[in-house]
Amino acid sequence: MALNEDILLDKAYKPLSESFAPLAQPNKQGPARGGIALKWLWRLAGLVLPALLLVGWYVVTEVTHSFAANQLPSPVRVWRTAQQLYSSGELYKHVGASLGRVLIGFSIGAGLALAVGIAVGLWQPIEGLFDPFLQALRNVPSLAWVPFLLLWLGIDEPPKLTLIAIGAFFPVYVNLVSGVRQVDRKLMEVGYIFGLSNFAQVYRIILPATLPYLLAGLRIGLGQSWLFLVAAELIASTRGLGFMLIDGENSSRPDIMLVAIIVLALLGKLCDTLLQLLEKRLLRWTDTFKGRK
Amino acid sequence: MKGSKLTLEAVSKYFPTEATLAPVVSDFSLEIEPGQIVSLVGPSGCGKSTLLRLISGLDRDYAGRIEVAGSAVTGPNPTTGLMFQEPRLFPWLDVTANIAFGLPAEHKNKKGQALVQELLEQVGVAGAAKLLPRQLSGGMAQRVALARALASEPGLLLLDEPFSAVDAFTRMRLQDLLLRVWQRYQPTLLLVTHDLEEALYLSDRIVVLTDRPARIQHIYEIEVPRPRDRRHPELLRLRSELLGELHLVNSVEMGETSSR
Repeated sequence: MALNEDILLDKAYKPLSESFAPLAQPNKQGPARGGIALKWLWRLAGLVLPALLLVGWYVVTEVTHSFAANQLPSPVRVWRTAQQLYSSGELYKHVGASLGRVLIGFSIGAGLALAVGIAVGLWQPIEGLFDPFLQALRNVPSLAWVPFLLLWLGIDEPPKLTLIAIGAFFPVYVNLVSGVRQVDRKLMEVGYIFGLSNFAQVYRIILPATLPYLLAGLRIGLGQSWLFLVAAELIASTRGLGFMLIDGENSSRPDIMLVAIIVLALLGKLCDTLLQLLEKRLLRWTDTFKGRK
Repeated sequence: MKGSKLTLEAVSKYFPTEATLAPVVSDFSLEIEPGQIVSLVGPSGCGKSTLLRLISGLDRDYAGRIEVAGSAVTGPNPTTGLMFQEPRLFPWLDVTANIAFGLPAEHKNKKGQALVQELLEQVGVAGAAKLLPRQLSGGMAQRVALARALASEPGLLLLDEPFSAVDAFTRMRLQDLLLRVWQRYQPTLLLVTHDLEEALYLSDRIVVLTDRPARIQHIYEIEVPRPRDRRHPELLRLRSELLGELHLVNSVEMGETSSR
């Protein structure tokens, strides 16, 4: 800020908006000449490793023939299988089943975690009542639930959705509780000063302040949902990507198994990218280290 | 917006320590007329900020009587504003939304929007209306905090060392700004400060407090008319008197410490 003489002379105050101009410009100037192309190239950097892997896979299967086809089928073979599964509508059926389960199970689990996490974060008595029990449950491995869920809920959709919901619940819950507890007491005081109701304190201060934690929890929870989905589908199902894996194993078709694995990886990444975009949009306000360029 | 009268009568506040209750404020009485500017100065940790917290209603645990505009303080009151040492802006809201945060619930309408626009102009941040707090300098953030405090149209505005975290030139500008909005909206101002020049430049009265527990040691009436020249001889004279007085307070404190 330039030092203006009128400060020293105690002249009438003059609006400072103009002198704010340099500050008022967030870094909107693009990178220097040639930088834009480079920036776009960098966006593709994430493809380098998968591409290398693909080339290596191709070489060891199609060129050097180091692996038998019933052990590791070549990428060409896997691609053909994928095309067949796609045109027969089979792939669509399995992906649809799995995606539907994940979305429903995740919504239930994350929704419950949102309600319980906020309540536990807000009130210590509720924390004392719920948290020890939930922390104990959290440490039960996912597969340990499967026999009981099958016993109680049958072999249809309910046990699968429940398992996925369990997978989604804990990461969201744990992150949300610590998020609520790190809300700046000083900001809460501003809320008291303006006489906010308890409800307004939650949605105008606590929730926005907790958003970074909530979104991190949602991302981990969604990832867990996919893990738990496969655990559920491996055991009892007639449809879904987990079923494709088992089916491929039973019919000695490693190419089908690889299609399932690749589709799982792509779907998982797609879901995560969507949440990442949401994160980027909603958390523009954070003033944090973004990593070096 | 019109200034509220503030009355403190025999106010005492204790902090619980291990064995006993340590008095922070003891038998404190003060009356401030509507629209006056009063500064509290005194040694660090003497209980000035505690007094502000009591008056604002943030801390309800005290003995005695505190009245703002004739009604006893029982909790945060929409007509009493408090501006902190730090801006305490909500980082996820832009400047406009931060100011609008102070609007009373029934004002989320056109009238409220108009007031926010006016305050943006008044505190000189209209050019930054859409910026996020992380993009603001310290002085600018404090302007926004002042506008937010004014958005609730407070009759009494409490300021807890509001300009202590900015550089000297920005501070002088902010003091002028405070006087300008005070002239326009006429709230009663009660200011805690460590800066004697600030107290002298702004106040109608300066209340010098003793070390903890806070009691009134002396009240100075500043009769120099506004706008004041910071170099006015009367202000300079009062300044050296105040320095003497505060030095006395400090030396008593030091004497006590060394005799312990």
